Amino acid sequence: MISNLWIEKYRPKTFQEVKGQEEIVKRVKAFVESGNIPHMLFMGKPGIGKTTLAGIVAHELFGEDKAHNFLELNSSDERGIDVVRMKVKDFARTKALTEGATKVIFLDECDALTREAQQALRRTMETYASSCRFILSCNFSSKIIDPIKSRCAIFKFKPLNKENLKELVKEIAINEGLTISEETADLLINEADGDVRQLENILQSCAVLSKDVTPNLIKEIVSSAEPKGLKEALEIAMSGDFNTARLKLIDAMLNNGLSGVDVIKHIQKEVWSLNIKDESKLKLIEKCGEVEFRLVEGADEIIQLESLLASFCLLKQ
Amino acid sequence: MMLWTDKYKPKTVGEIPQVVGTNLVEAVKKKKPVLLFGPSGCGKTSLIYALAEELDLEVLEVNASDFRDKGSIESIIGPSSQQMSLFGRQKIILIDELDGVSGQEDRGGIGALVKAVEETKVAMVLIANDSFDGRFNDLRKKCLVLECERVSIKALAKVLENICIQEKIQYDQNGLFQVAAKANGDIRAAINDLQVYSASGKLDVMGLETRDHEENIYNALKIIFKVDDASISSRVLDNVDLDLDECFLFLEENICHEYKNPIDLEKAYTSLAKADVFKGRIRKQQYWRFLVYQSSLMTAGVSCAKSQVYPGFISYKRSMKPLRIWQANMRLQKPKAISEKLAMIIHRSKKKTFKGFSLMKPSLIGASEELELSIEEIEYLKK
Repeated sequence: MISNLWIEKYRPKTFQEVKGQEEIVKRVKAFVESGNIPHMLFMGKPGIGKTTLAGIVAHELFGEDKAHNFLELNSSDERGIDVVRMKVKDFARTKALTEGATKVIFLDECDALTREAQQALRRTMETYASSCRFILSCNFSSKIIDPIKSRCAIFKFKPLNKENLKELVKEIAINEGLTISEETADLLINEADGDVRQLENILQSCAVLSKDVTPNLIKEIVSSAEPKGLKEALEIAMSGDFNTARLKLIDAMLNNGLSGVDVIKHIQKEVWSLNIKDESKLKLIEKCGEVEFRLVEGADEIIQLESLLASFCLLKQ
Repeated sequence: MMLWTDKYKPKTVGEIPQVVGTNLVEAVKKKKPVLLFGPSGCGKTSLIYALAEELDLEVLEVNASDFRDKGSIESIIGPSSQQMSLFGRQKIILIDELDGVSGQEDRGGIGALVKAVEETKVAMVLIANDSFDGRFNDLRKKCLVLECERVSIKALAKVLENICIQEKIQYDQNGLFQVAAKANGDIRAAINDLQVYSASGKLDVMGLETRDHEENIYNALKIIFKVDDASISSRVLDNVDLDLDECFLFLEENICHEYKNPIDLEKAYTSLAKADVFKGRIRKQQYWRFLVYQSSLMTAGVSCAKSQVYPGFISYKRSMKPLRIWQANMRLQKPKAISEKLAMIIHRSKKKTFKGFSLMKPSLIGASEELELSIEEIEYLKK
């Protein structure tokens, strides 16, 4: 069945279809053809083909038997040590049904694994290497502990270049009957910031509204997906009406389902575009940093954000 | 040894020092629900028991030790409020310690009470310390609201004297008045003190300390906001009978209504945010010494933030935060549920899928089949 979600529909199914990672594909393909893959760590920004390549490896290795021999776990959802001790170990310790093959476990978004979980993983990777191989993916290699890195063949995925992305936009446009000009495609690529998933999502949401994709349509879709109300809250605070600003901020955060850190990120970006002295901007940035630090340490999101917002109130003077 | 507070519980309404309005007796006879409020120990519960005795009523009491969520209230009160007693005696339902109905464990309790009050066929009395608690708004409208006043020192001394005579305690008027004055209208406290300080058979008030009285949070806020002396404000929460976390919510909600100057406002919230940091450290390290710093920053910190005492009194409010968080969670239920289904298909974590949800939302209707969306979820996407 072909998915109606473009990120699935246009997800590459074979090594040949993968765009932009020629070197990596060549080497991984060689491993797969030899029927023996090492533990691998896929590193790189979101939306450039890590998960896709892992899926292709599994498909090429096992074909129909994929369900028995391939376990995909998302570390962001299952990030504790229990997952490694239970699910991973249980799957890894039994031999593959297919003669001569080793099973494969794909741990996606590994940056989210706790350090304890990573520690538990390192023994597992060695002990069961004869029956099971690991593919790990992450955005930042700094979040992966060294012992794990040293056990893996590391592949650094490059961001896709503009030509790759344009090719993709063209392919989708022809397939879906969209009109999209050269400049519009440029804007789209710019908005997506090298993330194919983002690019395809924007494009599909545009296409739902109109087959004729214009720069305005893209801007509309992108801005409609931005969390609403945060900027307003800051503006109200700067006009001196703290109470209204605070309710606005709390609503914006809760109704958009944002975490406190998400909100800080937005506020901190917004600070630079405010019409105030550079000195005041720096003070606010410092305050943002302090508040973000406190949130990471586990402080109460709303009270900390309120204290940040109160500093914006001071700007009225 | 029996507690004197039990032994000398009033048996008749006449023994209660306060003048009880005929209103109460009338209302009970007519089976009109009553909300009786007053400070603790002024004799509210005893009054109802004495009244029940006089009118020959059977008392069904529900107090804070009972579960009082919606289900329990309905199952306990529901049937009894609709039926007559077995032995032909009339009944009176007493809901005591209404302030103790907890928002967490007793969810829906107040709502169920309002309904019970509306439908009751027997006499019903609800007792609370603070009738102006916002939770009781609906109850106030449905009930006859009566206040039980603090007992005057003179009347209290009289009660104590009676007990001394019956217990054959040596006493002098001065001692009685001291005990009575220290109790501040709380009969129960006064009798307890009397029993303690006359253990030797002679009333000896040496070393009688002022009883700590529970400040209510509204007074505490008033002191923090209006008093210009950190040595007073820093101790004010010690006597508040409220979880420190709840005091925190009260402060957070009300600072911005009290402090008008942005500089004061910023100082106050900064102080509160620092208190929150200490709260986090306590939780993390289980090092309770930090509580000193948390509480100082909350009280003195907020109190000292003001450049002037703001004139006028505003009515302080309960925090809306828990409600807002709950409402937002309800609103986000559907997008979260859809994100979970979506995450499986697009090989992404639920968390990240939910973050990118609004961008994908328009595209999802077309994929409702493969996502196995429910009708409600499809409706949500169409909005």
